[in-house]
Amino acid sequence: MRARILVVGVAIALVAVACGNSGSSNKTSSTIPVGGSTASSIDPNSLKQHLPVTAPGVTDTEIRVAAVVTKTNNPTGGDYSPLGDGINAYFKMINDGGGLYGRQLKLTNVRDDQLGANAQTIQASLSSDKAFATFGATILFTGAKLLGRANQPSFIWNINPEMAGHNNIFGDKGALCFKCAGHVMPWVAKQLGATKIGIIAYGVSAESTDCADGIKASFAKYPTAKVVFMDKSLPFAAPLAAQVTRMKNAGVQFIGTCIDGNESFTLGKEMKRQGMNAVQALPNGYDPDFVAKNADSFENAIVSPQFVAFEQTPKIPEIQKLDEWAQKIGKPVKEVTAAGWVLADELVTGLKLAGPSFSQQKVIDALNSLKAYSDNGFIQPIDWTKQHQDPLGHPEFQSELDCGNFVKVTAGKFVPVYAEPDKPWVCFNRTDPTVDTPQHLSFVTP
Amino acid sequence: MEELISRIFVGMSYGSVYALLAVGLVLTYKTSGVFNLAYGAQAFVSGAIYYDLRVRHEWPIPAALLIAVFIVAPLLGLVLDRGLFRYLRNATAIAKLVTALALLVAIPQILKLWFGQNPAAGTQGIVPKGDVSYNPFGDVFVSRNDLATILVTLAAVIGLTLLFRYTAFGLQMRAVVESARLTELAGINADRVSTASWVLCSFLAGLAGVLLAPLFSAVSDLNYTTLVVVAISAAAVASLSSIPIAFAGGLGLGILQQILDRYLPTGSVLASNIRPALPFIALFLVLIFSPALRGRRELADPLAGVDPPPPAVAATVRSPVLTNATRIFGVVVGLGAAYYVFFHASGQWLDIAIRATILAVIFLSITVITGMAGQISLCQATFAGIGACATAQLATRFGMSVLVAMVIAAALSALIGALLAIPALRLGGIFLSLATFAFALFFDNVMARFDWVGGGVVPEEAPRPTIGFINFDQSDKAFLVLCLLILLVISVLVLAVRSGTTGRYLDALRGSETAAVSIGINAARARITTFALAAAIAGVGGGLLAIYERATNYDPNFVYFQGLIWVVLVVSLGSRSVEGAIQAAAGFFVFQAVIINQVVPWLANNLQPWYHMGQPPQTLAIILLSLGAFTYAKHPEGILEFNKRKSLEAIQRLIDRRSSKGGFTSAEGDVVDGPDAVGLPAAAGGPAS
Repeated sequence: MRARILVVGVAIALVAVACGNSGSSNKTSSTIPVGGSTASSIDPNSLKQHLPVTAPGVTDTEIRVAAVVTKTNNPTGGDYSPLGDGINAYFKMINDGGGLYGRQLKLTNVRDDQLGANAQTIQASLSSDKAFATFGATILFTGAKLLGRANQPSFIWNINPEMAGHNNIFGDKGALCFKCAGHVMPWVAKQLGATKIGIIAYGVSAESTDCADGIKASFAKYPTAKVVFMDKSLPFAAPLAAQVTRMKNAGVQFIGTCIDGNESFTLGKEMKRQGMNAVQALPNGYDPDFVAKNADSFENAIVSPQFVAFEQTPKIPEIQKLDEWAQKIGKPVKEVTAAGWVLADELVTGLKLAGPSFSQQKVIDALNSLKAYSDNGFIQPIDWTKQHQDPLGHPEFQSELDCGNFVKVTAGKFVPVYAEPDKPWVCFNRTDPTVDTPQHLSFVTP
Repeated sequence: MEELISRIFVGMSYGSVYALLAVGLVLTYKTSGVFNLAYGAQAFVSGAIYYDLRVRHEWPIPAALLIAVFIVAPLLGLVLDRGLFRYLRNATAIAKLVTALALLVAIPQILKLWFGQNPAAGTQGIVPKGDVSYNPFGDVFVSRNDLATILVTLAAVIGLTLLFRYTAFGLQMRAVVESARLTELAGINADRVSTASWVLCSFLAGLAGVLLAPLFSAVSDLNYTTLVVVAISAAAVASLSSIPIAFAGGLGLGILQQILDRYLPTGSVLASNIRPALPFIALFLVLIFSPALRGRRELADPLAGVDPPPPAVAATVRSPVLTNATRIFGVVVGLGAAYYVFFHASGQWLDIAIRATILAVIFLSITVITGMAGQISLCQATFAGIGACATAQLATRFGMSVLVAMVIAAALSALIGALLAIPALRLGGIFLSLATFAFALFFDNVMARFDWVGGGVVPEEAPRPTIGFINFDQSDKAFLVLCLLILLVISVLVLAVRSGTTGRYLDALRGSETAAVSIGINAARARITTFALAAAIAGVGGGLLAIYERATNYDPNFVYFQGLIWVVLVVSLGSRSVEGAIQAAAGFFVFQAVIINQVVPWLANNLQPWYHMGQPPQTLAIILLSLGAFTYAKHPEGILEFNKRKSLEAIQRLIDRRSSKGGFTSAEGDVVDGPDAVGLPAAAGGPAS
């Protein structure tokens, strides 16, 4: 399968993360949201109430969920099965506190879709696992329609544009928009003092080329720098020697990349080889081990994680809890683990809002009523009343805030940059015509 | 100028590796008649082992190199020759190609069971600090890895030259390359020379594999299997016969690739799609326009022309009693399966039944092109993809009825198939297969990326149809019935074509093209018709799959690698019969769902206490099914057909024993004696017909 074989869809994850201009984050009102989910409005006593519930995966003692991940054949090299670690860590925290509605939360099965068999694997999970909810972290989300039709609460690490249009599928971001212009990249360029921008992307991946178009559109809309080089026709695993030469000759200072981590490494090596001093925006680079091993090639690169970076200080409460409970189940914390944690919180938030006589539909409806879900400030707030829809050409489906938080690679380690104490996020009102008025924010509930 | 020189240096680095691979390909082909499509997979073996030893276990470079290149690589060549290809000396070119295809599919999957399923990042070259670069002048940068690659290749070429020119063994090898038979007449053991050549070629593949690794950021089988296409282009430039031209071709293509990479525009839609596919386009153009290849089939045994035609399929020559019994058995099994699927099966098994039915439709296209026309097409998945894309586009963008769209999509696939066939069929044999391979890669990398083909970031939607009061969107069981009906129609069509004029023409052409042409059979027309028909059938299957999944989903369903697996599966199980295709499709899913997912873990977890197996790697199914293709040379009729013959023979003997006449009635109603009546081949115990 895999085909690439499947060279194809390959860059998806990378690209999705790369583009700071995706249609995610924030809330409906023009007021900056400061709270997370609305779980705080729930009566704590009701959470201990045990009522009979007839729903798939729910017994008198358990609420069972399943997961489908890409563990093998991932052309980017990633193993997304640690999503289950994040879910299990969160569930342990809930279960050790007495569970929810007198029931324990249990992740019963984590299936590997092996890249190319997502639809079959989700079908198998829907048929056999009899789960209340399905979690996912996958490269090719061909089973999105199945989950949509099953109307089961579903929670995915959102690197998949296929998520759009399904009101029962939730993520750590709203529906993605690769081509949408955003404030973040032009603002970072401005911070770096870069005036000449290069963009590189795969020609063999629609996501990648759209991402390149999105970056270009961002600099066209917020012209802090000029795009002087753009190559969105790379073959997979390209050597990049010619591209680096051309960027060097064009005086590129900042490179927006829509490629995977391995190709970013190739880019870093080639830049070093040719003595080119430019800063890479790393697409899928929030991987401390990978960056540490290849420190020389990534020095000064800028990474914008989907959630508050672990390195931000002081650590927000949600990261402290993640660290604590991941340690209790004996698992390391990685990017995908954090995604699992956030998604598990999203499910639990939905369950809490649905009440003791919860059902799948009630959970879906409850989550879709949230206008600023943020897992207590771990991620940018998501307005689930509208962010299920593809925002391309429909700005009304975009959040009103455009945010990022940043780390810089220094001697093989991530160092937070551009943040203010207790305010890790740099945000812009979506309607702001410039990048001159960033707001430093935290979405942690006081 | 400095940039140009810089590009040439980098290009030489790539070109050197391509050249090594191209030389190995030509050498193997010339000495064994095997066009080793698995050569990239062999290179991957050494690349992965070197990575494991050097990066994961931090072995010193010489030790890692010694194991990966000087021990494992030659050993692999020896095993392949002794265990496999020596038995294929007199096999048909298709048998050799199918075996190489099976290796291409199986070797990386087997290795990945140990190496890990995902690409491994952080490759290292064969010199310390390989990334350190030198800047002799201007903007010319050459890394230590580049220099090492170029120098090692040069050393290898000098070594090969010395071997060929100044050693007795080299002389023998050159003689075998020219004519194995004449060489044997001179008292030289051509088999031994061929074995040595396999060892040597495998060594070259291993060397190339290790040298290629640092050119990428990660060790991945995809890098090797895809980029070996360039080496194939170079080998094709050399008409698979000249080692120096193959070497120069590889080197030249590497340099050309870098120069084009530098000077072609980067922003246009055309460039965006064409540049990544340059190797595949180059291969296709070389194959189509190289005068040396035109009309050339393959290394042919002069006696091939007098080989007997393949025996008729067992189903056509068995006795009426057996035919009826088989049909009754088939109906009973079919009804039993249908009863289970429709009344008891879970959604997962219903899903499996639908996918197997759709895959059977696609597999029938392989029955047509390979089983009937005797050609190996490696782009049937692409035709299915074209059907899927066109169905979705016509239905969604133009509001057409999805079933009408599917029919039009099938016609479009047929048209593209015919257009491809016109130039490609002049090639024939392995060159035709390579042309279809290049087309598949081209379509995957270029055409499928256009929004108006694959749909772009989100695959184009394909709605389910509604016929009268039946809404297929609401019922997967109803959709299964629709799929079964379509399979039935296509099966009848294939049987009609097989027993009709075109089928008989193709039979004649397979027996002796010269004789067939001499009696007025238009070989080109018959083959183009077959190619178009096969493409249309694949298009129907692809359209059905898109409708079932409600979206095109090109990448997980139709990329070239899927096509390779399909071909291997169908030809190894039986490409000549309709039931072969159906059983291959059913087996593909059932084997995975039952044997791999249930039996293997059960056995693993109940036979020993110390190891718990969770979800077994699904590649296990691909490996086991691919290994089945190794029987192709011995049983070109397919494993199922072979066993069917054996079963028929056993049953027939039983009938004979009980028959007072001692004979039995053939399909034609004649009373004959012995196993001749079922047309049993020598391998099955009967005489060759």
